[in-house]
This record gives sequence, structure tokens and C-alpha cells, in this order.
Amino acid sequence: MSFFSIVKLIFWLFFVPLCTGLIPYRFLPLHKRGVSIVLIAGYLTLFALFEIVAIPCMLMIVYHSFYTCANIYTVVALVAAGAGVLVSGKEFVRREKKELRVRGIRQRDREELFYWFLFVCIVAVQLYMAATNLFFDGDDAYYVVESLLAQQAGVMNTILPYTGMSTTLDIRHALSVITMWEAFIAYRTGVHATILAHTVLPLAFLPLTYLVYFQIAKLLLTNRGQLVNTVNTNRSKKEPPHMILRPVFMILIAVFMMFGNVSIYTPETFLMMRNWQGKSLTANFVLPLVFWVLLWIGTDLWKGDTSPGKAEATKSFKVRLERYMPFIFLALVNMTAGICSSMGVVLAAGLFGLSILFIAFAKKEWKLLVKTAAAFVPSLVYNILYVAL
Amino acid sequence: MVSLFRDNLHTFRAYMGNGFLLLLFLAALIFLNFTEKSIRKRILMVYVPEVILVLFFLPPVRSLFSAILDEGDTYYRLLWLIPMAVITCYAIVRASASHYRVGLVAGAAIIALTGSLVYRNQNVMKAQNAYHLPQHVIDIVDVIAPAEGENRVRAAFPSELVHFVRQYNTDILLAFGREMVEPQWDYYHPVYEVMEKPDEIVAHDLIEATRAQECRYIILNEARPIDRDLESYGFELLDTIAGYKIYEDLNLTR
Repeated sequence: MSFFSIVKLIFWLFFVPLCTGLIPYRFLPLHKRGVSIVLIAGYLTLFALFEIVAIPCMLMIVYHSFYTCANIYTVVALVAAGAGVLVSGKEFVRREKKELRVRGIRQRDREELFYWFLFVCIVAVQLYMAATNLFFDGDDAYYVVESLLAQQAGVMNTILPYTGMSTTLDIRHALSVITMWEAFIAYRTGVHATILAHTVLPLAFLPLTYLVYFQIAKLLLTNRGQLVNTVNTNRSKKEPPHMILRPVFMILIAVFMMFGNVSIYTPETFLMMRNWQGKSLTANFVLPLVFWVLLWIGTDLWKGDTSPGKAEATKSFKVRLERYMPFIFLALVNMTAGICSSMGVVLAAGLFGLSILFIAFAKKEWKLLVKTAAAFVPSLVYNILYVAL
Repeated sequence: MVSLFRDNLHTFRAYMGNGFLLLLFLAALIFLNFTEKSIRKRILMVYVPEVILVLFFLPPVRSLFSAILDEGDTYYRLLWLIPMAVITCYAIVRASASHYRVGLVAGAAIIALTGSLVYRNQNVMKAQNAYHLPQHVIDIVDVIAPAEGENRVRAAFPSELVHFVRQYNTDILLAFGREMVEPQWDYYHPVYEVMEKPDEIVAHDLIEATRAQECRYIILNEARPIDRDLESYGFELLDTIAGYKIYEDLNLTR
């Protein structure tokens, strides 16, 4: 892999998602903002945009559809990244600088830093193992070859990966265009699609998964009655601050991922052994994100009860938009589910539908169901396509 | 109904492996059931997982799953809806909050002892190259790959190599691929029938089948017995790599 390929990989796997994530960043509540959520939002937005570009290209263009798709998506992704920088680039830099001053390494508890260091070490070991070990999986003969065929022959799911015979679109797999997204990264960076899938993508997708778990930890582990992240300086002996418990939780999660290989079916096995496949992204990115969005909605709802300025706040357009943000994220997660696996769409809908019913019932907030229905419109379109084709 | 329930039970057992992490998860679920005060957390980490677990075992749910998604062998993915890792780790953190140092060490140790380290999996081995493919497959493909601008070539590979060939180079077409190797699919392919099924390969039958498929190359494992040498049928032995003989059919080359 040449130096330029590495630079291009950093550009497409880190810089472009980071800049694209700045679009939703502007509309996030202040206490939610941060680098990790920007990266997650960036990937979600880019996946959603790719779905919008790739599926029509695949269905409507006969020859070299992938190259056309790649060219259109390059423009779309760069425009999205540019828009992100324009919309909130300055604000992001200013706020992150301030965050570093207020909550940088020097301001943090040594013990907390030690736990974060431990967590980073465990993840580093996992990344090293992912990059240097061969994880045999028969499904790669399908998914990885689909990406390679797109990169080398410019086709989108019209050649049978196993043998190379021409075939009609296998719609069950074809709508899950994550293989084409990977081919796009391979095509733009000049890295062989198999090297990208087996050696490079784990270095992006594993940390991405942990970023989602970090967001979950932030919502799960808050000090009693305190939902906004602040540095806790008044540590009580009985109740340790959430800032300590979060890295402890993340270490346990990382250990769980490493030792969760109790069968070939668990999400942990998929994460560690084939995280470049759509089904792994479903289990380890999409579904945890659904859980996170649910936690976010729940937190907002229950916090709303005690918020003193609720009546005034609801008048502000920005606050109202902030309240819609989890549902906007949900719509993006649903589109990402579609790009990962056709089953992912159903699983995400099932988990969210069931949970939101419980929440709506507990809070008697039936409007939630309307917002949820709106967020599932992309999934509905996807399912109509799936059935119609 | 009873058989569907048995299938569900079988799927659940297969999913949970040795069952120890399941016990840990159930303990976490029970702990949160009795101690978690936040309603939103109770809903998402106790009630919903419990409902999903119950739904999982209901036979009509399996029927519905198969009907909607047209597949029954992926039913285990319904269990993905339960965030077991989050629930287990959160319960450990909460249970040991006042002694979190001990909780961290003990929790990590319990997970490690009851779980199974992924790197011990039999399908994990040291990568020989950046492709994470067996090096001998790459070497074999490099021998038969067409030059830039030349037509693609078809080859018959032994079943243990078919997964990897086209992950390296899609200019190699295969006589048969992974679809023939998976026992549950049980497809028929004439080349596979004569190349992989007999204890001893009958060279004449093999050549008849490969020529009908316009296979320019045959790759044979040296360990596989064959009644006659392929060279006597107009094949040229190009090379032997890692115990695999690479033959080219000169009749198709001309």
C-alpha cells in the first residue's frame, strides 16, 4: 500500500465522515456535541447518501454502473463534507478547543485517565490482531468478491461472485449496497478491495463500534439526577463519578467483545471476525445505534418532566428541532440498516417499534409513534422496492 | 408447533454456546429487574429484552420470521435485538459501583473465564499477506492469471481453495465455486462430481467435464489419487505450488 493510498484512506474514512457529520452537529443539543458523535453522524449521513445514489445506479444503468455510481457519489460526498465545514466547521473547532481547555487531559482525574488508557490498549490489541490475522469466513467468497468485481469490472451485482458467470440481480443481496460502498472506497483509494475489507476496514469499523458504545455509556452512566456531562469534582466515596464508571464500562465492553465468541452467531463473533460484512454492521453498528437513539429519546422525555424552563423552551425553534434530532438520527440509522442488510431493516424496525411502544405507554406520549412512523419512511420505501423487485 | 419450539430451543442453545455468558446475562437481567430505578433503563434493558426472549421461543414468531424474510436458518439474529453485552457490563458496573476497582477486575475476569477468546477460534490464523488469503492460492493464481488485455480464463480448483481464488483476482472464472462446497445447498455440477466426489479421480471423466466447461486450467491436490496423468491427455504441467499441480489444457490454448 503506497503512502498516497494511506493518505486517501484517511481522507475517505476519517476526514470526509468527520466533515459530513458537521451538518447534523449544528442541530444537536450542546451537551451531545463532540468528535465521536460527529464521526458517527458523518458515517450515517454518508451511508444514507450512498444508498440514494447506488440503488438507482444499480437498477437503471446497464454498463459500468459502478463507475457512474462512484463518480456521482464522489461529488455528493465531497459536497456534503464541504457543506458540513461551511455549516459548523468554525463552531466545531472553537467548541472542541474550549472542550480541550476545560476537559482536557490535565483536567481529568488520573484514575479516569488510567482506565481510558487501559481501554485504548485493549482496543489497540484488537486492531493489531484484526490487521495481522486471517479470519476465515465462507461468506467472503460472496461479499468481498462483489466489491472486487465492482472495483475491477465496474459491475454492480450482475456477475455471480462464486464463479464469474453473468447473473440477474439477486435483490436480497443487491439492495444491501455496503459491498458497493466498500468498492467505492477501494476504487477511490486504489487499494485492492480484499485488502481494504480484511486489513483496512476493521481499523475503521472496530473503533466506530466503540464510539457507539461510548455514546451509550454517556447516556447510561450519568450521576444521579444529572444528565448533562460535567466534570465531577465532588467525589463521594460511596458513589463514584460517572466519568470514572464510563471507562470502566468501556473496558468491560471491550473484554466482552473479545471473549464473546461463544458461538459463530453472536454479534461479538461477527464484530471480531468479519466486521467488513453488512450483517456485522447490522449487529454491531445499526442495532446499538437504535438502542442509543432509544436511550436518547427516553432521556429527553424523562428529563423534560423536571426541566424548569420546559414551557419556554418548547417555543424556541432550535429546541424543538433538537427534540426531533433523535428521530432524524433514527431515519439515518434506518437507511444505514438498508445498506447493510435487508434483514437489518426489519430488525431495526422490530427493536425500535417494540421499545417505543413501551416508552410511549409509560409516558403517555403517543405523538412519539407519529415521529417514529416518519423516521421509518426510508425503510418503507426500501421494503416496497424489495417486494416489487 | 412442538417441532418449531424444539427448533427455537436448538437455535438458542447453538447461539449461547457453553451457556456461561448466558447465565451471566440472565443474572444481570435479574439484578437490573430488582435494582434499576430509572424507568427508561428498565424499559430498554429489562422489559424489552424479556419480551424479545419470550417472543423468540414462540413458534408462530419463527413461522412469521421465515415467511417475511424467506429464511429460517438466520432466526438466531432475533437475539441480536437484545444488547447482551451492554446489559451485562452495565449490571456489573452498577452492582460494583461503590467498589468499582474490584468490580472491574472481577467482572473482566468472569467474562474472560466464562466466555471464549475469539483469537482461539479454529478459523483464525496468522495472515500471510495483506489480502488475508492463503499465500499459495495467490501464487497459483499468479501463474494462471491472464495478462492485461487478455480474455478471462476458467479454471477448476479443488474445493478447499475455491473460497479464495476470486477474492484475489476476478479474471479467473471458476468451474465451480463455493456454492458447491456448502453441504446444505446440495447443488449439482458436472466438474465437481468427477473432481471432488470419487476417492480416485478418473482422468478421462475429469477432462471430459472440464473441456465441456472450457476450463483452461485444472489445479489438483497432489494428495488426491488419479488413475492417469493428465499430461497423457494433452495437458502441460505448468508448476507445482504448495502441493498443488497446475495443469494447462493445451487443446484449449491452441
